[in-house]
Amino acid sequence: MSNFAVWKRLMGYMRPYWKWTSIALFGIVGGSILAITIPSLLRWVIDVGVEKDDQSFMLRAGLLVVGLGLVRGFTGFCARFFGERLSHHIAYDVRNQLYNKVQHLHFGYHDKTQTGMLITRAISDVDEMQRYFANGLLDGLSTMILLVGVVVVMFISSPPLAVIALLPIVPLIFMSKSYAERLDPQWKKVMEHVQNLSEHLQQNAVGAQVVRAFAREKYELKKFEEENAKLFTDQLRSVNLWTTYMPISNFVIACCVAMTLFVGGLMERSHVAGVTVGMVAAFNAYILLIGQPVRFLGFVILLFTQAVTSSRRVFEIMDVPIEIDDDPNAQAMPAIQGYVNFENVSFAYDSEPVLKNINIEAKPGQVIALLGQTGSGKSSLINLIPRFYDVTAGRVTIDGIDIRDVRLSTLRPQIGIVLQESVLFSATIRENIAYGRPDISMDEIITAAKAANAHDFILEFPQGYETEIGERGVTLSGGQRQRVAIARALLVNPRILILDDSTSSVDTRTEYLIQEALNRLMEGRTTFVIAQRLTTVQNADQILVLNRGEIAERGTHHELLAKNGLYAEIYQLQLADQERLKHELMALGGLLERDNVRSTDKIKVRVPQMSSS
Amino acid sequence: MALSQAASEAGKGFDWQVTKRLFSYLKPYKKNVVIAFISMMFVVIANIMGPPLIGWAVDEGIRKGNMSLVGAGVFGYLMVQGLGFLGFRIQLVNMAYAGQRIIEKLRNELFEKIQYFSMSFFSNYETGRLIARVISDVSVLREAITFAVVGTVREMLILVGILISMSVINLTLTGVALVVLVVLITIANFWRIFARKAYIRVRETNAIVNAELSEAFNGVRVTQAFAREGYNYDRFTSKIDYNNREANVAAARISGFFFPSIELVGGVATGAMIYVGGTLVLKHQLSVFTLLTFVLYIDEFFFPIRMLAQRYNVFQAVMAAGDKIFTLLDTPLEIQDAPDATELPQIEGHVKFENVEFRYSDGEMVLKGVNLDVPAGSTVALVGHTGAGKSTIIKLVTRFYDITSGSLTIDGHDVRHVTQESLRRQMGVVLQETHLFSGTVMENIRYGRLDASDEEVIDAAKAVGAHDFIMRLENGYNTEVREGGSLLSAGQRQLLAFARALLADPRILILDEATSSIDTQTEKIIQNALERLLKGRTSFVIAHRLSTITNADLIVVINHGEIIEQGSHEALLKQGGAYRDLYTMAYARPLEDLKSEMASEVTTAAD
Repeated sequence: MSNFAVWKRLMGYMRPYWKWTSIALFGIVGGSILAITIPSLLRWVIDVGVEKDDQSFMLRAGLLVVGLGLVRGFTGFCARFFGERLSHHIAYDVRNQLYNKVQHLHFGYHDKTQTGMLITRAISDVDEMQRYFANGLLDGLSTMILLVGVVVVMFISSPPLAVIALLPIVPLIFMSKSYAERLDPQWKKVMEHVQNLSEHLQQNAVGAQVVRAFAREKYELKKFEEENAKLFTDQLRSVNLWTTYMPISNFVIACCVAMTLFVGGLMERSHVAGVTVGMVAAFNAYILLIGQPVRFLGFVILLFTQAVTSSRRVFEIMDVPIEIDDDPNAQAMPAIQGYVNFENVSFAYDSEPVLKNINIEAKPGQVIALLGQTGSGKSSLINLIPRFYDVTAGRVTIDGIDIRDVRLSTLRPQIGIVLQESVLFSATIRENIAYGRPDISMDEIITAAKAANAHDFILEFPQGYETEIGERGVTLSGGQRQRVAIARALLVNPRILILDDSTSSVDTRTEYLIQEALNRLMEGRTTFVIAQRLTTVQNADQILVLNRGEIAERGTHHELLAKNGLYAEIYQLQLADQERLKHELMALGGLLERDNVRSTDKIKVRVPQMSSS
Repeated sequence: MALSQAASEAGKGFDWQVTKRLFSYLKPYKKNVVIAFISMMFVVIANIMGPPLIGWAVDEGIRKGNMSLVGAGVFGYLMVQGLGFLGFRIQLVNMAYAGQRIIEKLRNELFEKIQYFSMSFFSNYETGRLIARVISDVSVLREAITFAVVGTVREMLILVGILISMSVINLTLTGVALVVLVVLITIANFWRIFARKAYIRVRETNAIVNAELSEAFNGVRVTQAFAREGYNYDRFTSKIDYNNREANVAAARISGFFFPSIELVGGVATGAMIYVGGTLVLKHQLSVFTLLTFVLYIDEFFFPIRMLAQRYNVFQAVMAAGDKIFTLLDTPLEIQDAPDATELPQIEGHVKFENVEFRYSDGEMVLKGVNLDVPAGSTVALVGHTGAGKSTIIKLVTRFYDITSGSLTIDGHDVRHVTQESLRRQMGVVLQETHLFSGTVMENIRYGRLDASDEEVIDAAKAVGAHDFIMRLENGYNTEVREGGSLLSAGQRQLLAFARALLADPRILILDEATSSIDTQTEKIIQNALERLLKGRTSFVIAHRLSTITNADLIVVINHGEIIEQGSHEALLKQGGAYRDLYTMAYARPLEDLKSEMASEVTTAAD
């Protein structure tokens, strides 16, 4: 997009506020005209007053000036207040639009995008756009209006003198052009460096523990300093551009004054083209009048460049096509019963095939366990069900309806998801559990938390459910976070449940609590689970073993064992461990049966004791 | 709540401490500041000298037809303006340079400080706020240094200059101007009170918007999974962003009334001047020319006042930003190198806890009476419930926390008496959740040892069994890993973390095992990798894997911050205590299933 096209689009945001824009413009132009006329008016008033030798006239003249001040104040208010108001309303509109867009952008986009970049654009770039509407645009317009007005007046009163007076401005115009052209890329570089700095900082903060673990503080600092030094250099370069331009424009105005006086004086003396003393004085006043706006031109260009650069960055995100979106004819998804079918589904990520010819038929209440090597396509498969990604070929249906034919907002709430890493928000535990249904009653939240085995540990916090948790939920342990996530999923009471690697990295007891919560969660729902534990797998209604994007084996535990294929092999791997355990326990004196029962009982009794401590 | 926290940072009015400290940053650029002030004087002179020179050229030259006088006047004018031009440029360049240097320094200082905060810092200080501090707040200072410092002095000088030249011409009219000045100052003071409140509100709402944007964008996947986009959008547009807009408009309204009221006062002043001056002219006590000069001066008189009032907003923002920046810089570090800390020499890895106690700063007891002697090269498995104190033990070894009493030594060196860097350099830490930085796979592994060659990186990857999957990635080792490594599975990320640790080749390895997020085949690879990784190093493992526990040289069972059992797997099983309870609980169910499984297998086989 060319700079002009970007600017035109930016201007489009003014349309709903054309009334305010007109008022502000009226204020600015009116104010400028007053600024031009008041001095000559004063001269005239004083001259006439002195001539008339009338004190009452002086009083009236004084009052007239006060009145003019009032008018000037009014135009000033119009310009300032409505300009600002306009700019903040536009910033609000742009930011909302961007927010909405980011919220709806598909997973594939977010996979490849740095969050820090999105944040910078929504904050700093939108600010830059706002600043343009508040300062650059209206001032630019009024500069233009004034300039044209004064130039016209000058040409009407004396074309030759006008040409001479304005001659020094001609090179300034070319200078402005080259200034704008050089500023543009420079400013882009500056913005890039700023973005790199924030991204580096974000990465550093999120990975703080790794930085410390490897004692890489100095290395990180060095990297930051290097980027910072680049920012310094480029910013200084852009500063150099305008510190050259702006004083020069000051000087150019001085040159105009000098030309008018000297050449004008010569012309007057030789009576060329009817130039009079009064005319020279008047031209001089005109030039001083346009002096301020012309000086301001540098700022206008700077603000314009910044606004266009920032707008381009904002529009870039707004223009990303949302790949996963409602079809125009999409219907509401009726209450789901729980039939999930994959019909000949293939899926490619970045044209890299991930899943090939997948066929699955899941009935309500069934548990479908997915097994397979890292990278075999399990996660991709489950991500297709809530339509986080679209299939490349074939179709996914729920209760016989192609999920692409229904609105996302009616589909996803009926699917519960416990993702690999439990992302919680910096809000209270209560708000986090109620994330899927913000208006739900406290009783239901507590019920869900209890079912997720989270109630006890929540109550251990002094503020209970009102306990705040940090941005990434750092104050909760992994196991606690997971249980909050389970409660969150339980609360929406979904018919279809998706568990992705959900039993991760916790100690035995927490694992037990989580497993118990998950079992409750899975009850009576169609569940797709990426399973690690053989117990989960063994109880599944269907086991799908994925290999390089294809279903290599399927069936129940017994069927698959009998097949003696991939599944049996995986099974053996875990079996070896458990074999050993068996022998060890046997060696302890054949206490196996009795001990198992006893220790399980003990644990059940112990759980509340431990959590209350 | 994060939002209220963000709001409380909006800051206060003028703060002498902050001002002093900000000025101290200008010190190394004294030369630039002095040059800037000197060159600024030329600008002031150009401003004051310009109008009289022109007036002289017109009155004495053109009106009287004396072209040589016109020439002299014009030449003088151009000279003065030329000097003004140079002065302005030199002033801007010097101040901009100082400003840029200072913000560069402040950013580096902030970033360096952030490097040494303990982990608990990050749980209350969201990334979004950190970015706001380092990027936006520092930028506010830049504007102030570049324009406001010299600008303010310049405007004051111009104001004084005009007053002086007025008083030279006519005292009565100067009196009128002074009255006007007093009125203006009163209005400005009044306005300041309102403006301050309004701008504080603007900054509060800004902080809230920023916090919300950062959160919403970070958690966008969860939002979509719960189809909460609409709710969030409504909340954002009707509350968070809306409040910000209204606060800004309210502030604009206050300024919108203030600045025009200056114009109005200007009108009153000029009117009064005309009446008083005009009367004097009629009484022939004043020349028309003098009156005219005064009337025109009045207008120039108001310009610096307007600028000064406008600067007030800037200074207020600077105070708030400076306050936040310095508060962050002054946050005490929980863990610091002792003043006499020495470099920890090459260690063997003999770790010894003697009567170690650890409490949180609020006095809560976490570990007590911990005695542990770990010979160099042995593997310790830490077992116990969540919150028992396992992670605290490893955090003490790495000195992420300091012990409260007792002693903790490595090869006889107290960890508190050696530099953190020399200590951690000899340690490898693999955490439950693997963090990857954006960059290539190669760079991420190399994070373990920065000077490792490509071959060494690849060898490490091969040793942990990560090479195969890396080669299957689009660009092999040069594949870009996105933020948080979202293109890789948990198992793949963990293998990379292993490779990273192996490359670092530490004497002491700390491992917080994350087992269950990995599928069985990867599990096999990881078990082999683990064996490699643990071999010949002192290792502390928060163990979840059965094989890791049983293979450990020493199993330590922790409960309520105390070591209740320690010994080898066999010894502890025989002892029949807590370890055996834990052990049987974890594996009892699979075992039962296993037995019935085997029974059915036998039947199937018999069929």
